[in-house]
Amino acid sequence: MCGLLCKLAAWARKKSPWIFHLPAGGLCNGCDIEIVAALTPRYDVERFGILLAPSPRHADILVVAGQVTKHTRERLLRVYQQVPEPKVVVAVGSCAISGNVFGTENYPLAGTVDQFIPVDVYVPGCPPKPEAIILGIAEAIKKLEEKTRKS
Amino acid sequence: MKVNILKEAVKYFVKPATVPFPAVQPHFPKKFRGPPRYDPETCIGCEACARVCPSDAITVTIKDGKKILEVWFGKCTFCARCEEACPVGSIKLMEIYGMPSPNKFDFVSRVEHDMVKCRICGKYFATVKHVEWIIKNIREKIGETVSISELKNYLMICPECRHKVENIPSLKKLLMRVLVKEVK
Repeated sequence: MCGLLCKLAAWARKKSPWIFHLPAGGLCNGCDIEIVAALTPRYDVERFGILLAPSPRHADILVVAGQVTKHTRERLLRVYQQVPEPKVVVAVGSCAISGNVFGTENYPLAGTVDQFIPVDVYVPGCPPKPEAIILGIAEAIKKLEEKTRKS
Repeated sequence: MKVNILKEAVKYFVKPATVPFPAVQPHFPKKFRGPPRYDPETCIGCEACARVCPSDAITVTIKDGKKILEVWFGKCTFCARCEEACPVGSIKLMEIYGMPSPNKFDFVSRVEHDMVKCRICGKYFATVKHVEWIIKNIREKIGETVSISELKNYLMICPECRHKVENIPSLKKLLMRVLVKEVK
């Protein structure tokens, strides 16, 4: 029974991954604006089936932008736990990768995203172009397929 | 003004606003700043880019007589200050967007240089290309009054040795000749 259902779920997950967008605190909101730009008619990610989910419980891909602050650390971990398996994390922007101009030893900052949750795909840029974000999510879909096959 | 707005509005009735993806020719606005890349042919290894970088994305490592300049654009702000500071126009912000990757240390452009030893203390202090570039510039300014070998003798001394009291008299002679020529 599960065999057929699981196959159907895997197929649906691959064809239409839902993303949850989480700004992790220490950022200028430039990356968030570029993620929103990727949803506009000009770049229109919905033609690839990519949909912005309102809750992390509905999402397959977690898109994190910005560096983690001491305040958002617990929320980030909670949101990560709420995303159902299999899940993939995409870190968008220089801040999420390395901290950028804010550095790593600033007093309100806890660290980069990959110090707290496992990151699968990094998208460089400050901010990255919407094309780069779409390509990053395309890479994440491949990872999602691999994880589905394993489980 | 209003005609422009109308034109823009009517344009989308003619063709779709959505751009094809992956784009055949990606659109970049004027003065777009993409990831910085070194040109290993022209770089002289003067570290000017590393000094002005506001986010310390450019690192310099000196190891076994080699100087390695590395720009990690996972940490870059794309401010183009390195491009402004470069005296030879070697580092450039390319018109590309950063390709996503599962490894964050993929976003690197590096260049390697041979270094010269100090004539007195034997310490590595500058790159071969940097010294050649300084000689070329001095020759352009003051002409042929000083020979290349004499200039090289002076330039092959590291800054610490250059400021030691016992080395000053021998260097003063050459320096005076250059300075007197400049004043004239």
